[in-house]
Amino acid sequence: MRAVLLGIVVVICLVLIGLWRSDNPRLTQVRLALADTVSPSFGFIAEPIAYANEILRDYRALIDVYDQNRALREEIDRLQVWRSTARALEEENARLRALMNVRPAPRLGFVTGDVIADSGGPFSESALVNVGQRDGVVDGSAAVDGSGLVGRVVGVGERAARVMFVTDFSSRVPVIIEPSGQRAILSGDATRAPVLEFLGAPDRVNPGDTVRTSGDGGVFPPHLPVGTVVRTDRTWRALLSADFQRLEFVRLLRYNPNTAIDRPGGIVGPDRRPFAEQPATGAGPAPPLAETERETRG
Amino acid sequence: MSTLLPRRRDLWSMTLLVTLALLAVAIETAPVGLHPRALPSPDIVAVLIAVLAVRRPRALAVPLVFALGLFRDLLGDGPVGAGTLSLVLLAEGLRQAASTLARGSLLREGLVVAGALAAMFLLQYLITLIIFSQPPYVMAVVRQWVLTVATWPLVLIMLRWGLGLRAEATDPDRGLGALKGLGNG
Repeated sequence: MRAVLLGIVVVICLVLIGLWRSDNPRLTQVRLALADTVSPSFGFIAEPIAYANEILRDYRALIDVYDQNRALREEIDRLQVWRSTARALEEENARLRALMNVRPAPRLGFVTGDVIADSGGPFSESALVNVGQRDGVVDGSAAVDGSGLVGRVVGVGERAARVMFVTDFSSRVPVIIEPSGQRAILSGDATRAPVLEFLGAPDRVNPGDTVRTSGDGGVFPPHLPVGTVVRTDRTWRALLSADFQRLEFVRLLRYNPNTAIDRPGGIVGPDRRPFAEQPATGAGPAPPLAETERETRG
Repeated sequence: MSTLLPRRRDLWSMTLLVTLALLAVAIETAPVGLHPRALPSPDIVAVLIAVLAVRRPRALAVPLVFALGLFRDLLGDGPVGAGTLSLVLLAEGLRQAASTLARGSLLREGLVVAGALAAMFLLQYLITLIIFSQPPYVMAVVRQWVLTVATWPLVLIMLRWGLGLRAEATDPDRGLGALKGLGNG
């Protein structure tokens, strides 16, 4: 009897593996529905663990406080020079825009969510956040922290969404390298510096160049900071700006992609209407940031 | 037939397994290691099952282990079914060896559990390869295995000395004993 039961379970598992591999949308919906139901309860356990981890991290930081202090002083000196340069450039930019009568593009709205769970293993680089469809999050929304791009939404539940990090093996992000203007694909490989693939003219790229999203494909908004170029062995990589070490909150950008997102998760459940048609943002063009942003914490 | 029905003590053990496994899943998915180089979470559910397989093998009903594995797979972001399959096979493998392990030393049990956990992680890795999915770095899996094996003594101490779950060396219903008992009428 037990052997038969075991056989049945093995067959079910194999079927589930097949469904997962084929990106079955129903399975994605079941996962997000479970996350919706369970995640709030798990917060009670995750919070003390996160608190203990924070204490440990602060203790480590305290040990390195002298080195950090020296590094910060050097950084301040550098930034003070940059600040004056940036102010001058900003003023010049404003004057030039006024001369050209340029109308700036509407700024992006966003919703901020807590990171409430990680993937729980080495098989993927992702996390659950406590904002979902009810907050206007859709499949494909870009996720950023205070410093740069973190990833994108790959599944949306009512109250939770799964964010696949740019470090995940499956992640591919079209980027542009400045100042050369070279385009490349940022390909995740479970390191803090993902590989820059399909680089057109590598000889025009230098370590320290800025990497930003190019906006190609319409999934990510253009010009989001991603990182800086580094070279390891013979590979060009982008050292990510986002601080995954202290990732507690992420901002999910409300951006209307130009193209349909080719994700099975969006076929069944999530509302795939453009933002303009969704009740959360109202009709018409995207309003200014102050009107659209909504922060959710806790 | 009575051998297939859970006894009161088995029901208590099953309740304990479910409670601790849910706690373990919550700990495993706590967002403390999001950095790519962060240490992976140990597989505490597998450790829990490894400890109980020797001490309360009748508590590890196949549907129960399946449900726990599936719950964990669905809540995490790994390959759905691969974790469940490896967990069910781990439970069954250790159940088969339960009576032998119960008579042996803790060191021997630890070595067998370490081997079984290695086989479990290897199976998950192979499944991702077979289905042409991108597997993680081998070192990441090895690090998770080492952490999982290191968690085993902690869970053992908690269950054996904290909750008083000792091995039942003479239990005839352990492992395939139950099936043999059925055959004998």
